[in-house]
Amino acid sequence: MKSTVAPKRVVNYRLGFLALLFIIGFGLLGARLVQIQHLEQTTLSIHANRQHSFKETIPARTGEILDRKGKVLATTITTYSLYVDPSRIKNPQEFSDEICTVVVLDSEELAKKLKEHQNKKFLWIKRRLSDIEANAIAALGLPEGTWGFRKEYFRSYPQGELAAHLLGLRDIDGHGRGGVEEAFDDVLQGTPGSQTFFRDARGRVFLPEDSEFIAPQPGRSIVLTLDMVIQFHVEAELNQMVEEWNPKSCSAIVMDPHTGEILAMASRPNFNPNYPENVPPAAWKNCAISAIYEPGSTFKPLIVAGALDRGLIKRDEVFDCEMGTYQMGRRTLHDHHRYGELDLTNVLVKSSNIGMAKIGECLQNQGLFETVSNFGFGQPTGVPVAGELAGKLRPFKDWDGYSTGSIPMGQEIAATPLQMIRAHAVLANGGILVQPKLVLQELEEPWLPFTAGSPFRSPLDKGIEPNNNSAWQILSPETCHWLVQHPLAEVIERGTGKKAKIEEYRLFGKTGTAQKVDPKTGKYSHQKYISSFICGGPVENPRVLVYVSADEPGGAKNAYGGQAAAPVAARIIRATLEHFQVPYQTAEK
Amino acid sequence: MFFRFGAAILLIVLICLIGIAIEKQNLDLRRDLSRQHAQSEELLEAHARLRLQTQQLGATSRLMREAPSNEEDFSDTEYIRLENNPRVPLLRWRPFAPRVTEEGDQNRALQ
Repeated sequence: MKSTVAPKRVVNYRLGFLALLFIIGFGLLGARLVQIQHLEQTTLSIHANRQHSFKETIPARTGEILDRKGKVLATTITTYSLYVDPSRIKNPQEFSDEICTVVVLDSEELAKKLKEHQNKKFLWIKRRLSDIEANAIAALGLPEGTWGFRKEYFRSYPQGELAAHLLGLRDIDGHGRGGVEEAFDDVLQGTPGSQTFFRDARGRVFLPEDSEFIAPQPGRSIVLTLDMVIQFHVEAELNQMVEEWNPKSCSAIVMDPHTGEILAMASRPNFNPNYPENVPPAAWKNCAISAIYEPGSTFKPLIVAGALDRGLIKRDEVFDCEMGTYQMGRRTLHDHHRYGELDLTNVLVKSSNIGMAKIGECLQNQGLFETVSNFGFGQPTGVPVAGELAGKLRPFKDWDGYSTGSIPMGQEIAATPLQMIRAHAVLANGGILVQPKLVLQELEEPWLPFTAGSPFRSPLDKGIEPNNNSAWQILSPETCHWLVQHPLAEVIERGTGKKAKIEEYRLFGKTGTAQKVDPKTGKYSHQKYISSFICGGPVENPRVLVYVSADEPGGAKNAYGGQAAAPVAARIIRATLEHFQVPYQTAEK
Repeated sequence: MFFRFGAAILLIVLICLIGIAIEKQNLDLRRDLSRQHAQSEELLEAHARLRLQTQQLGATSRLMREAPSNEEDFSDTEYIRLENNPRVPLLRWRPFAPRVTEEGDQNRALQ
């Protein structure tokens, strides 16, 4: 009996062991199944999708930038870029020699590059080829599968150097850099589309008809407030100024004081956005919005306006200018000439520092700070251009007795040319602080014909209508009209701005010659100046304001604002008013 | 029984056929859309290139520099050359226009 029972038990144990093995085996398989199908499902499915399909981004066509009359300032066309598959090139030297017969590249360097990247499947050779280059490469008959073209968008600026600083440019990857291109990058760029491609088991790419395709949405175009004719005059005048005075840098702005629309803005040194590789480092700076300096005498009318509006001084008040020397606390102030008693008009016409210091004493620091803050100094104007600086207005707690004398003559404060022209626009438009405006409209489809309601119009077509979006009254109209029609008009008639007098129109303006601080001594230099001039016209109904500034014009010649900047500003304003067909004010003209 | 079975099969086949037809139509529409997109891209590109060319030719700086001044000498102008030329240009305007009289007699008016 024993001999029969024992083998049965052994068999049962073996069967049990086998069954256990099966259970464990299937249990492991089941666990792995749960792991793959449930726990790691997302990761693995992404991995699998990546192996058999991939999404290719289709870039959107960038929108255009137009001036107020519809002239194209920046547009986008398609160009071809050449790439190669280095792993398939058998003889890199021969290959590069052939390419270099039609494209301007160093053959040796290209061959070296091809050898270095021989394990790679993709290498750019030259991006954004000209049509001639692309045709010539296609005609070379290079081995199939070793090279290819890829379409890429190319930004072109048909107006060349005009308004280069305001426009900015696009880098090789199509991102806006500087100016409007950067500030409105999201509007101009549009929405990229995509196309899904599939790979077979051998890795060959194919495109089934039902693959997902999302069309790119082209970027919107924007219409700027600039007028290219005025811009041309401004650029030409700045070129002439550079030739005549050789300043370190200079800039000019033309603005409609009622709407805040910027009609032209230029800066020197300049660059051509079509050739970004040739831009000198100093040329990148848009001095009209990124250069801050003490404004000097162009600041004086703003302080006078503040004091008049508060009733602290009267229009016919007379100030004793102390024969050119005035002890103000521990500081001695001087005028360029020795003046005795001057009325308010003559304080501005003669640009008396002592007269202004006395007005500062009337306002006191609190009043000065409020006046300066009301004009928007110490904060960016908000113009939609990349790189705008806020200027420099010290906190009120840091002001002292020195400030009472310095601020009224445009010292101890730093401003950009745009801030200055904005502040003077308040005087020209009857007391309203306007927001500088650069964009008239965004267009969905710029290729459609322009209708009567299109934004392309002269600023004078619509009459005077303040930019109501962000405008507020900071001075009374009476104060502003009196300042413009009397002291500031007389600055040009018989004062420091005589060189801006033109026969065709009656203008108003103010010169400024700000001493620069010498970094060696830390004191104001008597050789280095920033000369500026602001003017507007016609006096009776100011339609245009022009601001011109130059950093160290004439080197050691000590060129004052009335000499270096005033004639330039006058020529610009004459050209602008003529362009807008504002009738001459002199009968015989 | 067989009739019901046959009808069911026929219904399934019909549904399948309709499905295939809709799928084909869908693909056709996709193809058209893709073609239209490609065509619009082509047209946009052509438009952009022509626009660029015209804007380059009519760039403000170019026009302002090349604009003739008022003092330019007009003694040898195209107009004078035309007067001296005995040949009549093909599209030259005639000095009179046909006029329809009340009687509708055009010939008399032309004389």
